[in-house]
Amino acid sequence: MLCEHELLRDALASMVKRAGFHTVDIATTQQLRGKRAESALIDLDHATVDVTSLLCQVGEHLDGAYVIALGTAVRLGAATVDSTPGAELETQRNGGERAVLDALAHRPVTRSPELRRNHRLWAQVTRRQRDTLRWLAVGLDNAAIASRMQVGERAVKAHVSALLALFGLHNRTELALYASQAGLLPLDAP
Amino acid sequence: MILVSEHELFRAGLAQMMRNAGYNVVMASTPGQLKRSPSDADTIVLDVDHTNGDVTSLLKQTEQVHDGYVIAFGSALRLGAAIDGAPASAEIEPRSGERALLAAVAHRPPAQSSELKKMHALWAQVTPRQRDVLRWLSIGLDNTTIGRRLRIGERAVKAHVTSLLTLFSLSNRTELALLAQHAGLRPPGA
Repeated sequence: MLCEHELLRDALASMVKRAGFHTVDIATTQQLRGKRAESALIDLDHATVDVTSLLCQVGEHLDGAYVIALGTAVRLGAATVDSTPGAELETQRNGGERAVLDALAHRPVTRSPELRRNHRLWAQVTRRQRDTLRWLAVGLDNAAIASRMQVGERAVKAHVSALLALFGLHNRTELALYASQAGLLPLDAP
Repeated sequence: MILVSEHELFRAGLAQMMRNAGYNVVMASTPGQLKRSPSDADTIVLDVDHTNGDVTSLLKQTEQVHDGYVIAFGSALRLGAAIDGAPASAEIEPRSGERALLAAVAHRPPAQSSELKKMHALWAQVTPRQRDVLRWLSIGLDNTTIGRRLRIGERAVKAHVTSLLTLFSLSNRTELALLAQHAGLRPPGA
């Protein structure tokens, strides 16, 4: 169980333990080294690292574990582009105890039409555009993003325009808020 | 004790945790539900993170339907915006787990971090109008639209944004919008 929100982690642990599972509670991906697990329950909402790299690292460290992603960020569908978790629990619709126990038993969880739509949108986001979104998620302006990515400011502007059109948003602040809610963060964030 | 959280899974886990600790637990997904099922619980535990509503209205709503001891927790509290109107009896930061919650339930709330005290001092300087601007900014509205919603001129909105940038030492409106979002501010009726 990986969750940076300690209270949520404790609460999830008491629930899962009551159902007869043995849990190992982990706050950050660094603590994953050397651990083995059948299943990994990952909270995407309170991570202080980028959610896509979070899921990739979980996959690397816990080779063969069945990964279950949960949280309100799941619905936005950005987390699972580079790695595919076994199950995604959208807290708005299947966040209950039963859904978690079903997922832990490797029973498939259905995705909402909204999530499937968002997955399709994110599949169209290029690597460069995703990097742009990562910097936008912490509020950098175009010039600052350009210098971090070593591209011209006009290239960043073009990425932002394309992303606004893709997600049907009106301005870059909306896009930044969306990226942040989806769990994107710069990869070298502290 | 009443547990209020829109995160169904978290609610179930918390309930299990508190029952293990010997408490009688009533659950609710929103403060609105409390009104419909009155109880004589002396304590309310309120999750401010996984909500669609504004964090300050959430606390006010809770106080209106129930006059018990209110314990609020969540990462939004770390940014200190929830002190306006109806402050919680105790605030738990997400880095603290089960022990901190049990201590707070026993009316021994944890000491506030110096970071939190600093943020409280900053938010105490935010005027009601500036807070309204931040509520709309939290979903990415531009100055013209915010002006229309608040029935003030665009220049007045701009002036509010500028003083807020100075107050919180931020460099652009996207950073300010992200702060508002992370602090749990939302437009009325969101």
